[in-house]
Amino acid sequence: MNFVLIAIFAFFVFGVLALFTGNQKSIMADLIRTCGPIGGSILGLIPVIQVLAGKKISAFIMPWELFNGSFYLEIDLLSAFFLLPIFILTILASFYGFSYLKQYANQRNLGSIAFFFNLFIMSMVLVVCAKNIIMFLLAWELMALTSFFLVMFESEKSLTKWTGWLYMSLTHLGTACLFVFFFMAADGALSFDFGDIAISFDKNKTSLCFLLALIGFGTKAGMIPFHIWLPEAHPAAPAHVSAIMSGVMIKTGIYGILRTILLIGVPGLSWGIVLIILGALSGVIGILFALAQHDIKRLLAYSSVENIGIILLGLGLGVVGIKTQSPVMGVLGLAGAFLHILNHAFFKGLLFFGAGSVIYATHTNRIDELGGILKRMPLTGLTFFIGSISICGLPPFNGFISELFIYMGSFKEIVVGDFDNTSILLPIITILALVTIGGLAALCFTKAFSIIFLGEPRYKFNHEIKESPAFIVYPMLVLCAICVMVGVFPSLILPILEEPVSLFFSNEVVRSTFVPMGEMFGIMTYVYLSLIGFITLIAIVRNMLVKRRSYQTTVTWDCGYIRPQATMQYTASSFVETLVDIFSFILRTKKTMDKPSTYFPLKNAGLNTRTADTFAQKLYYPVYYFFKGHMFKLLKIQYGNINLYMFYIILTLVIMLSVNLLTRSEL
Amino acid sequence: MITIILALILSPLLLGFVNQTKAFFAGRVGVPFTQLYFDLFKLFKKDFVYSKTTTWVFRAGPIVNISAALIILFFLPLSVMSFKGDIILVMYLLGLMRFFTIVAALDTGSAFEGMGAAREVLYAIFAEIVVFTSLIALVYLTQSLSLAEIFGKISPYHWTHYGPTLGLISFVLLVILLLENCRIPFDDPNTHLELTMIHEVMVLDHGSFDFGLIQYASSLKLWIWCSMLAHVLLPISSIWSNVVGIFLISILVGIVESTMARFKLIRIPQVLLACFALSILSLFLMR
Amino acid sequence: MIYKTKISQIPLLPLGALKNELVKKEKRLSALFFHPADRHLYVVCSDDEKGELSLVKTPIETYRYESLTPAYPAAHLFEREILETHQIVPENHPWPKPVRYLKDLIGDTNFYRIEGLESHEVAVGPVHAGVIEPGHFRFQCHGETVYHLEISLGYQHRGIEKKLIGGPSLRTLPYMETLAGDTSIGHAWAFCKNIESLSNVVVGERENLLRAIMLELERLANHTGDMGALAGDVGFLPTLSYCGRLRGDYLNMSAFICGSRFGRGMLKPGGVSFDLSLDQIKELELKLDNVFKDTKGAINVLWHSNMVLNRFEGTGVITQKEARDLGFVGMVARSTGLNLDVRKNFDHGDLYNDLSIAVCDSGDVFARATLRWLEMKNSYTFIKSALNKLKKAPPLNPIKPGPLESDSLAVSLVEGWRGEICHVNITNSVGMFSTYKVIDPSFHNWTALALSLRNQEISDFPLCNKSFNLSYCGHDL
Repeated sequence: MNFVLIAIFAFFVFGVLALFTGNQKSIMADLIRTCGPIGGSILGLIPVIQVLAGKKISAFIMPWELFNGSFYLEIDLLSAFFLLPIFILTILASFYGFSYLKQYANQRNLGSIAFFFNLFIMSMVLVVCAKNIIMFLLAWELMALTSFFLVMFESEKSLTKWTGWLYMSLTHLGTACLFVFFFMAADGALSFDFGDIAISFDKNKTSLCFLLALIGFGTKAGMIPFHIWLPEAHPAAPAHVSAIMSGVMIKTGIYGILRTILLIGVPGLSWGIVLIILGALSGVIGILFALAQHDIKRLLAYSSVENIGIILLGLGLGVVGIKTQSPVMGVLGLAGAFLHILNHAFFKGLLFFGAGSVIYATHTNRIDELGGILKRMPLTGLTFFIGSISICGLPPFNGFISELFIYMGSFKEIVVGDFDNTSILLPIITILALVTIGGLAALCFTKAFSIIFLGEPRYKFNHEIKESPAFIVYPMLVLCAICVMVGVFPSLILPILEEPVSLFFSNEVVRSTFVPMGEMFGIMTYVYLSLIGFITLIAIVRNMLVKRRSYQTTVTWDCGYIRPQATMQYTASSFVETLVDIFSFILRTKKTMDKPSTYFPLKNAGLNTRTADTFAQKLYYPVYYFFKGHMFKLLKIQYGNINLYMFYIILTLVIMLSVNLLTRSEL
Repeated sequence: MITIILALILSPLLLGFVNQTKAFFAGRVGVPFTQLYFDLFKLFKKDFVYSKTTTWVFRAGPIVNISAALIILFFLPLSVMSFKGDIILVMYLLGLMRFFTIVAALDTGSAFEGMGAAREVLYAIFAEIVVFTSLIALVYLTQSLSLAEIFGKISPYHWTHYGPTLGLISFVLLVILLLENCRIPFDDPNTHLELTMIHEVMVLDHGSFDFGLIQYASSLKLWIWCSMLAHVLLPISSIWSNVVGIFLISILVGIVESTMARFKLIRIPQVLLACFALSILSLFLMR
Repeated sequence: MIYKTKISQIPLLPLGALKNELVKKEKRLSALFFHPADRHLYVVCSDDEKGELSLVKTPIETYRYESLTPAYPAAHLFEREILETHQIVPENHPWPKPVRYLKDLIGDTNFYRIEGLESHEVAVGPVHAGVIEPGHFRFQCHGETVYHLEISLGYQHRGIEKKLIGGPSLRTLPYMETLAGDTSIGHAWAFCKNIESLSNVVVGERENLLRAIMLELERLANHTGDMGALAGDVGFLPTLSYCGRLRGDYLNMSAFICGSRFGRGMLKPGGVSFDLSLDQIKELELKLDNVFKDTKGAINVLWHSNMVLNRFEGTGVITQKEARDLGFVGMVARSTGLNLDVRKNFDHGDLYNDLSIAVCDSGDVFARATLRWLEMKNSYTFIKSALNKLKKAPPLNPIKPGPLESDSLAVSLVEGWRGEICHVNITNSVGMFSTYKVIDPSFHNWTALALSLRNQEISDFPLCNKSFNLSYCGHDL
């Protein structure tokens, strides 16, 4: 525990110190800005690994009246599991940010960014370690605030400002639900410590409590329909912050849901169904919106919604598994959800890093402006490529493993299930949702990777495009290596999953389910190795042939036309047009163009499409504008007249007094 | 083992059967059964020409394709390997092949290949849903999770008890077979027009050794799909009956190609959605 | 149809009046060209209802004139052609681009483009994957949808019109027969008529019947080939396979008559080179009946396939207004409901009394396919009756045409299998060609293909293209 305390302390101290470095360009200033999160995270990893290895670490408890309980920090299995990606990604993101922020050195106060970054990491650590309601909510709020300031990084852009406020208001909508939830849950408990709440929780309130928690935590996680802040906020932050926000911060929402289940018990079967349906919706709708985007970071942000969907599917299977006494489905679903939490942190971190690297080199985030940069940025390209395959859930990388868990859970249920029972629908929905997500993700990420990195440049930049500096590239290589390792040697990851899953299922059940999975993973490793072997072998044969024969280069087949142009390539928008068209009832993409309609072409016909968030357009904005319209009427009671305000105060006091008196008289 | 060897040797012959059937219906003599062997031999002998635009992605495409196809052969019924859940691995390996074909196509920076890639990935989304729905039914019927058993365990018993389900599934799988292997009515491998093709247009810039690999991989893919369908249609667990089934199905493909016209491309998702509805129906029929 | 006049008798109209005349009377433009010897624009208009041709000319003094196209779109390609060959600029022409791209004369070709980074271009040709002629097609697309197609031809340009000046010579007829390789008879007949009128030769009934039979055989062969190709483009193999053979059979009938499958050497000014004996007529009738029976079978399969009809219907629509405005001719115009056919509308004596003309009105690929089949049936009936007449017709009476009238102009119209073929011939003071203008129907109709693709799926382009099946070399000359 001490290490984590030191880490938290380090985040805080170095954060404050960094504030003083301002915009200084000395090595010392750079060190102060970066070494806090790196050092703290490395320290923090030690107890995390210990806990995951099965060792119990005593909690840090200090009774505190203010908290109506105690200052209570503990790394239990669940916390440790979530701390793992937080620390790993923080280390890499700090290195990355060190290089990445250099481009802003003259325009922004790097010290304050470092300050917020440090506090942001600290708040996330606190959120997953806090075992007291007040502490948790404070940390939660701190996390929201610090990330708000990081989103407002380029606050002079009006869009960013709007984004920041959207983020802020939605986060607080969620937090409001959490407040209600926690205090309802804590009603009748000895203290606000989690342990006490779990003991005295009134089971009758489970459904309502779980609903509130689901909305509150789901908002943070970016669950549909509470996701609308996510595609706005993530792209606005610097790339390494986006990576952390998308990779781990939204997972604190999932942490919250899991913690809720531990706290108030497993909710009813219907909540499992709700989770599966929300997961399927988040997954499919998230990826649909992702593939219609033109901004690479928005695309990745929407894809986070999709991945949260996959995690929710796993969670849903877990809940259903517990409630319907189908432990195999439950264990595998939950294990899939847990593994996907890790995997998504890694490949989404990787992809955001890659996107940042591209933006660093080209200064644009519009996919349609890019093209052909694989030749100029080979490592960014390679890692982005592997990240893309991973996130599509294709073998032999890590995304496949977590989806495989969920598939296996569902299929095994179908094997033993009964088609006369409607609950068989749940694994079927899960499978179909996963397949749909997988297919759409393939479309989304072949688009993202290919249009950015392959083909010919679509736009002539005034500057030379070259590979990003080492500190940007190496973190990507590390994440890439993790994706490959987890993918090819999945048996390595099983022990890490076993313990957290055991929080929800008995040890024997988990072990007996994991043993066949382990065997399967063992075989799969051999299959992958032979796949890689085949690839190497054939590549060697080909290279031998290349050496022996003539080898020429020419232009891409252009039908013999003498002047091929870069516009004769598919664009990102064209690549997805048919699908966007098919799903126009959800996406509602607006296409603006002057069609050539006269016999002879019009001058200046242009075409562009925009896919705004349907939920924002149809659900949130009407409500917002309704209130905005009616709030002005409230101005009437606020005239700036002191006497009037005095009158309000007295009126309020009188009402409170009379209410008090009346209720007392009833007693 | 013998299954793999047969697949490796005989798969190019399948296309010969398809083409001979088409030739028969057209009243032509047709190319020899062994034409693809000659083509492959010729391609493997050729020199290399690459587009200046392309990168390693373009070169990796065919290699990954053939390697994944070889791996899938291991898991076919009556082959060497099988474990619970390999069906998902196999389906995703097919996805991996597709992913690499698509990115390799887009690597050329050609509008034609972009067109083909966009079509391929779009139809794949719907096709995969259909395949998995049929798999759900088969998994339930055979109570197993490995490809070898899902298809290998289908017996006359299943046909007598779940005839309608298996009938629908066979139909749906045939549709997917035609789509995945770019046959009429979805794609026309013999069309010479870049604008209307799906699969062929994606490999327009591949040549020589690479193109040979692609051709061979697609003949293996045809073999794999035919083999799976043959196991459903001819529920006898023997290698030779399966091989006979595979060739019968190739003739069936030829007949379909000789009698049907191509769908409008925009209709293909609708056709696949109809298939999805049929496969869902097949689930209901199992009750 | 033939029209002959002295140059001096052609009415002269100023440009403004010409424009009014064209716009107001909604005349159909058959030819518009510049005659450099007297620096006049010559305008040939056809009145299909009355079966009359009208001719006017307009002096062009400088190298610029106010373009007719904005008010009268049918003139657009003619004006571009004049711009290209004579560097006379039509001012305010909406798309003044060379037609055939003569490299030394006019700058680079540029294409219309939809701005922005989201739409893409598809450039097809000049080298095509199929065995077809060269041409460059530039599509402006978003996804699968085509918003604009621009067609850039000229790869087949041989400078034939230039070579013809100073004729007629021994080379002239072979040139005519290869203006568009699949329309040998059509162009040769138009040429023969032209020479015959200027040398005051009247050909006999037997000659005319034989020429008409050859023309209809040409139509049958090409339509059959096209029906097969249309089936091929939708992947419908049965019709494709059989029509390929049947087209050969029709061509062989031409060869049976004159030794050339494309009818080359059959026609000559003043008559025909080959006659049919009574036995040959009977043999030909037998052949025709057999082949046509097979054709019927092969094509009826097509109409019974719902999938084929689904592909044909609503694809590549041309409206009647477009056809009228832009002066489309032949099958394309008839597929939109316009009753345009030189054989019926213009005077041919009693040659075409037995012929009926088919018209469809939906303007899509289906209409063009149906029209082909109806025309095949009509041609078949016509050939049968012509062969009957031939049995009783007087024997051939070969005439060798004498020298041509000097300072004259003759217009000849023939309904080739694609549509109206128009040859305009101006002779100089010694009776030699000083301008010989050839307007192949493709020249009018390429624009129709470009328009039909708007808002279509790009994958339907090959189908649309084949449904028009226009000639590249007939356009490029």
